[in-house]
Amino acid sequence: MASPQTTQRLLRELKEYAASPNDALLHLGPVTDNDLLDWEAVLKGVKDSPYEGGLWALRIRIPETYPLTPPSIRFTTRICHPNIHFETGEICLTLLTSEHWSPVYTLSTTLTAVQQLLTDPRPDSPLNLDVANLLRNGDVAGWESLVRYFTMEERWNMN
Amino acid sequence: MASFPSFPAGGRTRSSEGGQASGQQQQQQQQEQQEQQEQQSTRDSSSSDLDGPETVVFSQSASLIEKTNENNTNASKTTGATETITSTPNGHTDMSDVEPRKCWICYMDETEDTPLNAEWRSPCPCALTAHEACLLDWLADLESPRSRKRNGREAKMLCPQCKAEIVVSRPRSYIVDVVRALERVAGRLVLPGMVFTLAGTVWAGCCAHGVYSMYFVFGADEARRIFEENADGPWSPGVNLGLPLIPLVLIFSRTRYAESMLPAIPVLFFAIQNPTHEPDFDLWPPTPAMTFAALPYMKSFYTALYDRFFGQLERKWIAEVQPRAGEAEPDPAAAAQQPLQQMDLGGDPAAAAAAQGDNGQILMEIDLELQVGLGPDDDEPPDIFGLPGAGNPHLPGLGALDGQNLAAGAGGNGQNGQILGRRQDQLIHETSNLADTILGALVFPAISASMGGLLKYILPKSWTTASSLSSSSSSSSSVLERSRPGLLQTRWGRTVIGGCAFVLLKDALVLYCRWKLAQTHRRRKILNYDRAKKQVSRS
Repeated sequence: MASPQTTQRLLRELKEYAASPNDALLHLGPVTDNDLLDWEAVLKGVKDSPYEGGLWALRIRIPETYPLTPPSIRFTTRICHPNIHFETGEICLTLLTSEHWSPVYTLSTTLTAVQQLLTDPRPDSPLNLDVANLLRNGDVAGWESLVRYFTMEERWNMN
Repeated sequence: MASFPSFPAGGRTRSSEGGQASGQQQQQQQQEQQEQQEQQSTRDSSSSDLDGPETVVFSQSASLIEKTNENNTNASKTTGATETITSTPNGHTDMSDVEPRKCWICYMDETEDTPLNAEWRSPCPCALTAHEACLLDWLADLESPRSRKRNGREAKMLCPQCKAEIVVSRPRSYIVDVVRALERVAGRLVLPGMVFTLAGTVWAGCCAHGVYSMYFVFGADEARRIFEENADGPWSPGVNLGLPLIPLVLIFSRTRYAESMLPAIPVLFFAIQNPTHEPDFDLWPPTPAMTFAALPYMKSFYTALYDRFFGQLERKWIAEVQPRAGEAEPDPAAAAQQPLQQMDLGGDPAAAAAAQGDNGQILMEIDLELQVGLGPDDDEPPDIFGLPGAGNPHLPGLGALDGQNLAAGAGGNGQNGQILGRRQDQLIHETSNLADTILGALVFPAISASMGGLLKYILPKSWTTASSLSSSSSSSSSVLERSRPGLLQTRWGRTVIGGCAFVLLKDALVLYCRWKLAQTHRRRKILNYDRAKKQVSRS
């Protein structure tokens, strides 16, 4: 089980999220009451972007050394994005690496960063080569329509 | 006291109208903590010289907000609040922008401080504050060997918001510092050290190879004498640089770049000539230095000759064994005739350009002889070895024919490079080729030496051990006053000639195989399966 500091910090983050919900999120919290190190979240698509209207579920594994080490976050709903693996949902975001992580980030702010990644793709370090190639070749229209298609096709629904 | 910009959900959530379910529990906690806080604040004010008056004032005012909030909602616990209000001389009246300090690591604010975790630090210009214990935890994590390895260098504690360095003061131990510094230096030296060690290993290997080559070529006594002559002082360049150069030059001489070095050789040769000895311009018998300096020329000369006389033939034979290539070729008998015709052709230009042609002819004869000798059943190597030596009179002096023969023979030496020379168009295109070349170059001294040893047994005793005779004759006759023994009478001479012979032999063998393959190529046929006997019918 996690150290008391980690537990306390997570409880605090949970309360904080309850007090001031994050606009980027539909839901954030532990999956079960038993395990405080296993969270889930539902991310909303940014307005006026190809991801508008989308909903994606994410799974968050929190290390026992949190907040000194970053949580590992991945999409469980499939998403079409150059920096996110289509099948595994792995996210390529420097914030989530050990050397760039800092305890000042919370799960809520980290997920905000993930949402920002959606509107600010980096095709130079891709996990989804096909989509990245579209962007790299300047086919923005093709990219947008593909994103819109998958955003609606794979949209998370409550069940 | 503003909440940091990246945090929309700031520190104001401690107000009691936070969560519904957890609200009661929260309040309970708060009450307990308030009691602690009261004790705390009195302690703070007593130790105000440590923390600075500002923080004390702040913590008190913070607790004040907390309590006024409570007042509004619960109307309980008012006694503490009045106390603190009276004890705050110039507290902030505008309470809306004042929040309790919140630790950015554990996200607790100071209303929840426990006695264990009550030291607050504000280490950088920005608004982030944290518990000292939390900061130290973080520092320990950054400094752990695991994350140090991950980041590759000493971790610096930087404020995540303003990137200012967070300065840590700690008791210094000089021994620990020195060990740390040593570790750092050692870590930096790993790569150069590996390179240095590798280079040293290669150098040592080259040295060993050079020494063995010297022993092989000159024999133990002569080699030792040379080493002793050169070993002036503890670090003589002749031994320490010259010896490792031997294998390197051997390998280098097999590449096509060696050819472009040819004009530089005389310069080198005279540059390294020992000035104390007067230069010796007698061409025969050659000094070791002369001989070895001349070998590259002979090599390229031989290469040219080989290419001229055998190159086309060989290419044809190779082409013949390619799929569907044999139709236009002449019949085997004509192919067998080919070398003779070629030789005749070679003889004609030789009449025009005398010396070169002569050489070519002799070379042709040798090669042809080798080929014929090898042709039937590889039986008589003595004859073959006799050939290069046949024109080589044991007595020095009458060297015309001898010189030509040597040229042919030593040119043969060059031919090892020429093997590569024929492949050279695609320089070295396979690793196996590369390994072949390098290994061949490195082993060559040993092969030459063993061939030289073989020569000693094969040749008549009078040729190889004539030094006593020649020395006696030279003492008697002033005309033939030579202190140097003939080429075949020295071990290195035999080695050189042995090497040449080996190369000729190998070359001839390769040529023969090419020819034989080309010949058998057209006689191949596929055997039918005999169904009656249930086996392949050999007719």
